[in-house]
Amino acid sequence: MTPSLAPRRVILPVIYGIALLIAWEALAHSGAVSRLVLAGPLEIVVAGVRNWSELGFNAGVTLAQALIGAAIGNVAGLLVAICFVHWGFFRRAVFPLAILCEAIPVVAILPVLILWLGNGMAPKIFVAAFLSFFPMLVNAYRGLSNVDEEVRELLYSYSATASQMLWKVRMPAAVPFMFTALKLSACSSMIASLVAEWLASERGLGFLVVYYGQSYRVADIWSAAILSCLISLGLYGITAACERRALSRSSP
Amino acid sequence: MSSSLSGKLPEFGRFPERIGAILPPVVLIVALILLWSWSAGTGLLPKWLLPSPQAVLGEFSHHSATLLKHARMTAFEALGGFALGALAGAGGAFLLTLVPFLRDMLYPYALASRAIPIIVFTPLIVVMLGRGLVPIILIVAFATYFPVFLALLRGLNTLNADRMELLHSLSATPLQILWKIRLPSSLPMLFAALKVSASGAFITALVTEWIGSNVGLGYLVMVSGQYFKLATMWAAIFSASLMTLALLGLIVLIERLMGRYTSLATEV
Repeated sequence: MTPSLAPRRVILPVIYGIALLIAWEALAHSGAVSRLVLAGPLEIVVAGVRNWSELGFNAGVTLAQALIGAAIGNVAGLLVAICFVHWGFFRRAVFPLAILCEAIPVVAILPVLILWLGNGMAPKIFVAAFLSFFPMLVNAYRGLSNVDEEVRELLYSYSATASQMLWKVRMPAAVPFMFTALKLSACSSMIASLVAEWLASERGLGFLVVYYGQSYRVADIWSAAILSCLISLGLYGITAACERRALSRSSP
Repeated sequence: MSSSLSGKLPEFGRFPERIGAILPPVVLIVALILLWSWSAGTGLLPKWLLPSPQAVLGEFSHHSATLLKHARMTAFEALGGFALGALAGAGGAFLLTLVPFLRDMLYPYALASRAIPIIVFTPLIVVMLGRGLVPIILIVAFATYFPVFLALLRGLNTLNADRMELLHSLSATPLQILWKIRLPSSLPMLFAALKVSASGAFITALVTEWIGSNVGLGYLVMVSGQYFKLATMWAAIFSASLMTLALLGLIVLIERLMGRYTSLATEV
């Protein structure tokens, strides 16, 4: 399904979105749903503007944890993938374990991490890094080993070194695969950071949502939750835009 | 929606090769467990940091009833939500494929939905519905719904023009096209999404239990962590991991069994 810009493909979604917002607002005012549960979109925007400084500061904490974690996890994943390509024995021993580890609900060991690392930013960054690490490892390895046999032979006949092979052939071949992992980690690192704040934290959007929830400040919960979604969407959008630029430049 | 989990495990070849594929990871795991056991035994690894493997194993035999109670709850939430979300996601994808009006209207929202962290809404849903089974199953279902919906929608709409033309010239009905071409060719993407969602379902269930429940393995992990009952905590973590692996294994098995149907798309 190619994104063609036929007018109905723009107008229909916009109409739908506006209708949805109006219906939501009407539902919130009709009294059919308790005010303790549902806040209208206008009320949510007002709450968001009113709490702007509080929301902004806590969003910054959450975003910082997510970004630092994603950076560490992705770099580590790429480095291990490069090791995999060069040392076959290491790969054969560790790769099945890595796939196994990916299936393990890592976030569940967060209580352990809080025991080990305290309740500051460190455990959140660790979980975000862990969640970013495995997708990058698996995807980057697949990309790095996705080298045309003829190109490999050509470089061999030029007696290229392993590092030349890595930089001139393997890395460019791996770029599309790495973006797949980066897009995954854009969302998952944000989720990890948010969820990790539920357990033991005094800062962050995840903490804020639970804190508001305990005092039944419904419009405030909605504004914090929607802000988290917007940040997550923004991260994903930026990554996707970088992907489009990088791929359009590399492909002839 | 491709993911690392869609990566294929190495194919097992002849006997010596099979040994070569299985032996290194097994040796590594055994070595790690021995190292863990040894360092816990000599006190190198303090008990509050990581209890010995014997202690964790002992937990499985001494407190199996407790573990089973919590595990049953988590399994019910994760599997129920997974099934619900996968069915709804598949239904939504079929609907949008067969009704172009709906597709044009909803496609941008469908695309944006994959970047939305549904789990953030847990506190809201708990405020709405109270603590317990229903909110958790709902959140797991939502978390499963989006990847499955998107993967199947994309799979159903990525079509080979030649084959479509062939079926058109045979004047096939839209349903025949769906059944013979669209569905089989979308199954690889669907299974990739199901594998991602399978571990996602358990993660979501475990995490949601932190604030949305007072039973389940996620709750057990959190509470035993707060009381420094580390053996219990690790036993709960291992149980959750085993259940996740079991579900993943089941999906991989079904994918293998359906291989014949999937290849239909290339045979037509």
